[in-house]
Amino acid sequence: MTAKRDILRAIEAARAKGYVVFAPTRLEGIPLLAEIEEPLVIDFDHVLTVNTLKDILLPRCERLARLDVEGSGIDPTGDRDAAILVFGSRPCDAAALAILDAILLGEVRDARYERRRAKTIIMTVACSTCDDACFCTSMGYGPHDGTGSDVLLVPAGGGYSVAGVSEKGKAFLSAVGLKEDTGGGDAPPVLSRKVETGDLKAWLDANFDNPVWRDVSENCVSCGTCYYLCPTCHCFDITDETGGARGERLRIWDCCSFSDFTKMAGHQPRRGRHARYRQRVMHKFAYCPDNVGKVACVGDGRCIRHCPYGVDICEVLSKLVSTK
Amino acid sequence: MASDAEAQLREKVKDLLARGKVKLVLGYGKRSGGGVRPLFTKLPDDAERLVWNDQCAPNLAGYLTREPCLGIMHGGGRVGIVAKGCDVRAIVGLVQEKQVKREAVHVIGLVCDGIAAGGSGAAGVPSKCLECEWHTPPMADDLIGDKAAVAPRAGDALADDKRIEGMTDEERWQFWTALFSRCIKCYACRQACPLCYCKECITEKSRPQWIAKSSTIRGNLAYHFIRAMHLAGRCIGCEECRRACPVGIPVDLLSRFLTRRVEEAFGYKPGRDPAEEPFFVTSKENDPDDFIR
Amino acid sequence: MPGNAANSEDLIPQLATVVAVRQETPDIRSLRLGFESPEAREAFAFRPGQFCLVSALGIGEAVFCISSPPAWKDAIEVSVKQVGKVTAAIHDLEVGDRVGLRGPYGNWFPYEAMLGRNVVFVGGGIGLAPLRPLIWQTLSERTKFKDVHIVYGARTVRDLVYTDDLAEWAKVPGVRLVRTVDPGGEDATWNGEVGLVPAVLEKTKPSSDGVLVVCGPPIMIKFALLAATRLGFDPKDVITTLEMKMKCGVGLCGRCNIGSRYVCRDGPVFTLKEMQALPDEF
Repeated sequence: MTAKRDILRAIEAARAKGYVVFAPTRLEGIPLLAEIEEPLVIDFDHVLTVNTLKDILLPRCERLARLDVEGSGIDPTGDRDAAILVFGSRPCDAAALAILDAILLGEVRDARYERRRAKTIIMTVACSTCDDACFCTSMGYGPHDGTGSDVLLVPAGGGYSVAGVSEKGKAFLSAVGLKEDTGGGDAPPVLSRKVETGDLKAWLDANFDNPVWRDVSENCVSCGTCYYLCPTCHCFDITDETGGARGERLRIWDCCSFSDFTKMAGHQPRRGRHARYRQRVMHKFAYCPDNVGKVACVGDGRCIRHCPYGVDICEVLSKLVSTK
Repeated sequence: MASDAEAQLREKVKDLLARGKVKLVLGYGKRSGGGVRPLFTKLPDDAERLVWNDQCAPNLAGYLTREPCLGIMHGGGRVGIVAKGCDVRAIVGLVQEKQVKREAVHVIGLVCDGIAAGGSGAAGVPSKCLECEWHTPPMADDLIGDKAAVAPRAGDALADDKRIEGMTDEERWQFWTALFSRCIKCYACRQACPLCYCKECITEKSRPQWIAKSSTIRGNLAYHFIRAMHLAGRCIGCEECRRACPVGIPVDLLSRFLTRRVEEAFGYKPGRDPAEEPFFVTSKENDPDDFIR
Repeated sequence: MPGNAANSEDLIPQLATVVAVRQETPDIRSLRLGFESPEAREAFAFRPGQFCLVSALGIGEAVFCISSPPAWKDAIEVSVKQVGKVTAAIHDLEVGDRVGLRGPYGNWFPYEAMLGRNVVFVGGGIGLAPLRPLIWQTLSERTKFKDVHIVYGARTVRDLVYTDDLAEWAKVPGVRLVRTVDPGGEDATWNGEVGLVPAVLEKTKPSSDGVLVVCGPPIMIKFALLAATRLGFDPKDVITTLEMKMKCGVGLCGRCNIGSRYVCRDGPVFTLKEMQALPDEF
């Protein structure tokens, strides 16, 4: 087993090599993934950060280009040069990246996401605890799963086991002088929450117009929290913001629960909260499987944990599949 | 709060639904992992799932302007609602602004000591409970709980307000800018607010785009400042916006600050009397104007 | 079918210049856009049915079908109806102004499947815009098709677009052009039909042994599809192009889907048979 101090030393070595490091910290007590200068601020005691790897790889507000209407026209904004180390992501967060990769690096590749992804190392710390909102095992993942990670650290008797999951991860370990050490590993925590989704896809394909959609979306007020915190929600808007002749073209997170998401001049194809909630569920559990072969949910539970009105996706899915 | 209030509540709701006095009752139910969440009860037996305790923070009045409640009331039916004093103030606001007809709502008022520390998500007792004058909700069609036994939560509700009032203009600008800089523009605060019922929000207007969509400082300040202006003199301080915010911003500070200034200058307090005209649509001859420069 | 955009997309437009402007109707303006170089125009090779995104710099970007014949060497054309912030800004552009341009994206009309068959084009209002390049392409190889019918209408005489093209098309041998305006939309000199497009389509009784291509406002498409079904057309042979709100145009932003199909990537051209398998969400 590898001691924590050796892990922190490796992070420091990465910083010395020019990596920008993101890790979990606490801001007014809230666990948040943030850029850090100093490994000592890393928090190891949280279950899950409120924010996700999306903040880094598909930022909430990203300048695509500067606009100079009377001058050069459009000047694309370059990428930040530095390589990125994300330390302390959880297995669910890393698995979400595998899903985002399938969507954003498919037939058409999102160039910026691709470049950032290529220079990012995901160094996941597996879970030693979970809470009652976690349901990764029901989605086919687990608290010690390595899907989507480059390096996986698993708590092991006071320290960690270290595994290079990808070639990129192995090369990184070598570069920062951290040896693979795959012996041991504490038992993973046992999740209390389970959801059986069974024939969900077949039910969704056949029940677009089922009135049960109104029932399951009753509590929802379309507040957008679940979309913004979800590690696989990727929808975005492109907007020009200028003062006079100069300004910028931005890519910003958008959300299918907003009423103007699909609203055109004189035509709104998705009227009503239930129609937009249905889109959320369909996109994740029917359309993504159709298009990229993956369910767009990793069971991290942020939507359940943070919904101010108690909408629970596991309850929703169970209710749907059991409705005629 | 006695747990026999909970038993009385269940009996009352069961009775209302069984007799067809209301088509639906908005109340609180258990939430997995602890705490409560809104519960829509439609059949008499659903009433057994209702709870009443010191975690019942959400303001259910916001559901009155949405489906299915909207459809029920437009169709001539009535909706029941479990309401604390702060929640009733929101209902009063909706009645004043003609969004909801008083007779279409059956208010089941619950006497309330205040939400327990941590009960609304953030640590500590909500500041609305520290300044509450409405432990016994007014305008209740049915009242449950012993108003003589109220044990209000203690603390200085006005601490934030005094601190902000004591700041210079420059300090205030820094304060509000810092507060809203981590806003992610998810609009949860707007959706959570019972008095934000506009079918087309000013954020959706594109000609002109008054409010930049981005979560930059210009987009965030434009949104929060304009929204606070729309809530000045209307905000009843239920703190739903704060409770809903995924990044922990006390969104209500600004609109409550402005509402207190309205009270000081004009003697108007929102949500106290459904027969009162809303503040911004009235003017009186003796309205003060010494602050107009 | 994917469009022929490069498959790595950074969402940055190229610059193009407005080289000509034509006011088609009171609220529709066609803009001819010239490229920065012949290579840029060549790289923009498109097929009828595909769309592009045009930016009014500093205001925003919007989706338009490419409404010019692919054979035009130096420029492309888009026809813009003024309905909101971006289209209003585009209407203010003059010759010489620059715009941003991205594309071509989307799939295209199944031209090869039309060869050797009867073809009926049905357009309503600005819906003639995506059909225009296809009609020109068809008529430039007229002998490869059997009968060609064009049924086109608008609310009033003043709302008809491409009146010059319509006159040219009517002159081509073996082309039957039927123009119509909605009841009340005729004027003293009108010599075409009076009636809603779907009704006029049924009245012209085209042979159902052929391909029918329709585009117009959503409500018109809906009724035209019903008319086509009543006339006996096979749903595989009834083709339309759908419009949904779009931002990225390449299937990344998650917005323009109807069920699991993205209109920008799996469309905008769909057959009636494909649409019958989609949820009613457009």
